[in-house]
Amino acid sequence: MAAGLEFAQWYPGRRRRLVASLLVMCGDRELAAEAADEAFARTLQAWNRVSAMQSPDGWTYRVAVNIARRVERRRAIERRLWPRLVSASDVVPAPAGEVWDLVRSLPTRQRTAVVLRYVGDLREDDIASVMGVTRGTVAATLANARRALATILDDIEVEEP
Amino acid sequence: MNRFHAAVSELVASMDDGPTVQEVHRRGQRRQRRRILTRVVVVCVAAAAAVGVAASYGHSSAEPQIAVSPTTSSTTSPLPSTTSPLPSTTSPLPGTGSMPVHDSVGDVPYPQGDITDASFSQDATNFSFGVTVVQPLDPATDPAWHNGNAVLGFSLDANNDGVEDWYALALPQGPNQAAKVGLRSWANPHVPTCWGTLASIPGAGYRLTFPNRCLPGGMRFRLHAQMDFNPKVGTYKTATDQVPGVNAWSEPFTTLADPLTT
Repeated sequence: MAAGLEFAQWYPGRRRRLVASLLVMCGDRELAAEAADEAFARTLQAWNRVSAMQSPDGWTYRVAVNIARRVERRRAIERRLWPRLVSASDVVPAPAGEVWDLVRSLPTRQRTAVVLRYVGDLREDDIASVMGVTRGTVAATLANARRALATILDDIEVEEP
Repeated sequence: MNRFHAAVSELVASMDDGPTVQEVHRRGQRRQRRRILTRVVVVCVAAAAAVGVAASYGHSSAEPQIAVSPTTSSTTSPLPSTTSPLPSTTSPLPGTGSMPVHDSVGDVPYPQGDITDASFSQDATNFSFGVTVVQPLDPATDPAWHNGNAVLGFSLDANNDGVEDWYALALPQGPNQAAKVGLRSWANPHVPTCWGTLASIPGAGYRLTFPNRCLPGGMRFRLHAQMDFNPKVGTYKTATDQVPGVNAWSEPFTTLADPLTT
């Protein structure tokens, strides 16, 4: 990362991709926006340290994904322990559309990798950091995900890692 | 551009820019203030507890000592509290961490869901997570509890990574039914839910109690308590009080290393 980069220069425009990524992962607009905003606030607080990293994006995404995952886990146990808590609005995932339905049909790890790569526009190094796996695992996961999507969406190019 | 990339572009473009840099900064400042307040409270309470321990062991100081229990009421606490901590059905054993985590009064609109203290305690057979609230209700009779408008939960972070590893939750099942209280491990989802009980402490709050076998002995963890409450049944304007704060954790507790597991 360029030395001396200010948060005010780095931040604009990044929230859109982060919220969009979280939205595809969790299907909840409110949660996606809240997790993203909290992650950016933490990034700003730790900016001296985070800006010195090779990519502040990876750190911010990891924080945001952890926040969203935590809320989702709590909701999951609430739903399991007390199914009456689930209302109709809780089970309609966003965003809508055939493409996103297909992305949501991928296994969790593939879905996460695809979202971080193509919606978040993260590099494989950053994706590995967010998912807590090696870069090689990310590359293999993305290749498998692309193949899975290409069998259904014939206009997706299958790239080899 | 194929359909996939077009969908991504459309999705990203549909998002708004969100808060300004100044608003992000203000949010960070609010978060920082909450963290500092939490640390101050923990340090003050720890200091008060240390004084109490010293006094209870007959500290040989020339000055008179005031005995202060870590779970005693606000009269000996350095910070004000409107309610006294939970009475204990069994005496916590030394070192099990019954120190309450304090939370400010009035940070949520409904006193029925306004947590003032959260704590963990353990004896030879059971451990408990407890909260005191400004205006406790009886889950057995209160409509908000019956209708799912009151939910109490505790998260445990056992590896200090800021993500919950265990979760305890109390969800009442309706009129004339006992609340369903479960404790689950996220680190090992194959471990079946451990079931416990909800006790209402009149005038103080609530306590979830589980047998010692539900958590590993000697486990060090940080605690986060949360209560969702909405007095208007059928609406969704729920207020959530989180202790010590949003995405914040208590100082560590440790379960007994070798408790009875019956």
